[in-house]
Amino acid sequence: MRRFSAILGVALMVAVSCTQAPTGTIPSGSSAASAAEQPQPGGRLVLSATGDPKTMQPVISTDTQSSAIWQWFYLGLTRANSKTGQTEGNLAEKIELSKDGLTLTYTLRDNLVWSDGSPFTGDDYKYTAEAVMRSKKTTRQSTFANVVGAQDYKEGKADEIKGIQVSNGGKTITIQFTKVFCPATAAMGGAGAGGILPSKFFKPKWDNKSTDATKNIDDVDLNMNPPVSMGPFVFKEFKPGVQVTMTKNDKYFRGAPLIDELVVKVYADATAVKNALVTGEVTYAGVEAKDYDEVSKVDALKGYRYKSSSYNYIGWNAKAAKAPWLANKDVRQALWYGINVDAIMKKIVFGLGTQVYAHNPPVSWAYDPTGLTQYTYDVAKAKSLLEKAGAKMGPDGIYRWTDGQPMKMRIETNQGNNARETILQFAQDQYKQIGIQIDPLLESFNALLDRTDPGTDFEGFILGWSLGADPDPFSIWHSSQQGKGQFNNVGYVNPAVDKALEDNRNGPDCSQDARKKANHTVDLALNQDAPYTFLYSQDTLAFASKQLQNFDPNTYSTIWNAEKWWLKK
Amino acid sequence: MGRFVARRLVQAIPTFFGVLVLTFLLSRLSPSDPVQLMLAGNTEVTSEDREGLRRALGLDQPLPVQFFVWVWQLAHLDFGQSIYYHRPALQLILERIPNSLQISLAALVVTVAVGVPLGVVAALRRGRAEDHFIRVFSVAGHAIPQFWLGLIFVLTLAVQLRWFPIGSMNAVGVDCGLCWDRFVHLLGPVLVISIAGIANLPRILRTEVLEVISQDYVRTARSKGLGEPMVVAVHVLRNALIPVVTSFGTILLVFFSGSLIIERVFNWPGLGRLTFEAAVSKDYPVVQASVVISSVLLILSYLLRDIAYAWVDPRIKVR
Repeated sequence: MRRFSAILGVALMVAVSCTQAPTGTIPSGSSAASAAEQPQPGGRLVLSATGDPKTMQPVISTDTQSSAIWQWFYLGLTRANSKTGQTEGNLAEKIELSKDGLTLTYTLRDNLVWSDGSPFTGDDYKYTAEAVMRSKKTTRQSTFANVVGAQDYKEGKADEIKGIQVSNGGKTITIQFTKVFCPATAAMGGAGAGGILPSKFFKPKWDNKSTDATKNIDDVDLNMNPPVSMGPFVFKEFKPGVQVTMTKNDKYFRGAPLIDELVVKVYADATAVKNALVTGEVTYAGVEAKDYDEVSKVDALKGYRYKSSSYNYIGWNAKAAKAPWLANKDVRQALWYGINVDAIMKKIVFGLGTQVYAHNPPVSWAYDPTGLTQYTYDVAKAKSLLEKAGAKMGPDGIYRWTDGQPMKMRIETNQGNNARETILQFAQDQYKQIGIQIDPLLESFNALLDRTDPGTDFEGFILGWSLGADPDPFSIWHSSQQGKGQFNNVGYVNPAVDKALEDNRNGPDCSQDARKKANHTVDLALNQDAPYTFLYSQDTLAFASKQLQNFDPNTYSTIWNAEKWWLKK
Repeated sequence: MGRFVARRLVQAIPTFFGVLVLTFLLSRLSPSDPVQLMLAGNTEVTSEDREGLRRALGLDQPLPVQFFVWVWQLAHLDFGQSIYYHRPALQLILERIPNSLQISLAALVVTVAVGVPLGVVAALRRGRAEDHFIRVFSVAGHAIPQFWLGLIFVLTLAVQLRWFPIGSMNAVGVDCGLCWDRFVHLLGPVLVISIAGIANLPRILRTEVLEVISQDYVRTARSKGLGEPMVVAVHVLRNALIPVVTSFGTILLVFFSGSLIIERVFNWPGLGRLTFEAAVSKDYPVVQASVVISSVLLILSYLLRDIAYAWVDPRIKVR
């Protein structure tokens, strides 16, 4: 550990003193001094991507390489606060949800214009929502499941979504729901797609005012050639396999950016990105924990570290035929006590993370640590829990389950993921010490997803979740979500959790307090039932050129203040 | 000659059909489907929305149906739409081919320009230091995997010493095809790919030159009083090159498969990198189109090789 630079030293100290650090960024050096300097406009910023954007149109976008591009020009009415993840106004200035939770009203900011000077109105919003409902390639239609008239529009029974009305000269957007859906304010802000399209340009390509449900926006040429921007930068050029070039949007509503040109360069993989960062080709990039040491030695770079809304876990299939003991809560708790998460974290992320004890990550506003059992590594306790559950020690040091069979089971994970492979090694060694034999299996990511689909017979697996800003764990923990391709693959059933998950979605009280309480109920139950051995949430590590000023990346957004960035010469 | 070409083309049809079937089956052998990969772990996407996407992409159809749809499209020169890019697969590939050709052609030129003289020198100076040196180089060049050489090149000469760019076709902000910047960016990948060819060529050529040099007509040429350079260039080399031309097909193959990895290492936006990424993400139409087009090019290059073979050696009658 001594090899690490001062950046890491500072970072570690802060992590120890306040594990729930609301300010995730740990800048090294003198960022306070530079803030006082006069910003110098101009220059080019180079970012990295590990693949081409597949599309630059949010309705059909399904991957992060695409959203990493269109996020610069298509915005939502709302956005997640970069630090807390709470929904805040973006293009909308005011967001109101009626008392009964059935009417959502957005009021736009004054004088919003696209980069060509034409006004941004509620019609752009409605157009995008309708594009989602008619698209065949979108995966966002469920956002509108409770919006009045959305289904009729999809099927071509109406030429508009009745439940979305634009009034007040395009400044007010009112959305009617058939039933309460609390995550709606977050999801609706982007019209389902995430970013709102310029209807003036797209309408001649696909007309939304139509009952012809066979026509859609999926293959429109503007999808690869965004005509205008609402964001800080305007699309200029895409060279496949090479880069996307953007120029600053002087009409950006938060103010024209100081940087002139933004280039997102495409690299083959994370190693190439790291090389580009080290040689100064790229202005900033995220860095894997294993490369932290090497990159932090580069003088021209400054390190950033912030909490992530993701975590790694070992999932235990309660329905495993070959490991019936996984249905027993005491056994699952024993498996939690029996693994040294602290040691794993030290080994894999050099301590740059937070141990987690339930589903909602510590950075989320819905997280409440009260009453959560902190499982600390304890071999004796693990063994006593196994014995309490009815297991008897065999002559070979392996426990026998109540039916007499030795407690042997498989844990699988995907090959090529260093962190997960290391967790698997730890699990194999440490579970042996509590008398459980692990049969490790490394396979392709494809095969892993396939083999751990609900209804497939498997025992343990190591995976991670990367969660959105709105706390809605319904699809992972609700007992109804155990069909093929769904996410409750560990067979978790708890009526109290089901109820809390429904409350969290369907209110009727959608207030933050109510939802935080519902989420806490879920977290407390998961903490006790231990359907997963929750491991840790790794911090995000990023490096940027020391020239880059005002850069302030956080958990929920890296680019939230991009218009203020500038390059010191 | 015309009949020969026609017959070779007809012979290529079963090969081509075999390529179609194999490409289709191999790309679908491993379990899960592209939609699952695309949306892995995205909990906001419901299973209904996933099914919808699968339907829109035609992935809900049984495999034989998918196969015949594909062949039917191919017959109409339609390579289908990329699953990820929402664009025609052919368009994606055509964008990349010129980039790949730059590396392949440059590597071919370097291989011949360096490999042929080395082979001749090795033969003429056989048993001496030059010959031994070239032999050691050959063995080493063969034994070192290209990707390793590429990685070492990038790590030492580019990242550590900064003598070369770390990859790509141009520096950021530069956009030119025929210029110094492109030349500098080409050096790395071309050198690495050429080394395999350069290792191969002198070995074949050395054996051939040694055989030809003891032929009667070479002795005749010498006794006529021709100068040694003339003898080597006209009488020896022209005959010794025949098997080299034969091996050209193999060399082309090396360039094709080599560029798949080298393009990744050097971040070159070519067909190899596109195909690799498509294979990993299960973008069937792109993988299929790329393999089919590469196969056609390869079959054509073999044909060209045979024609060239007949041309350099009139003794061989094309049967």
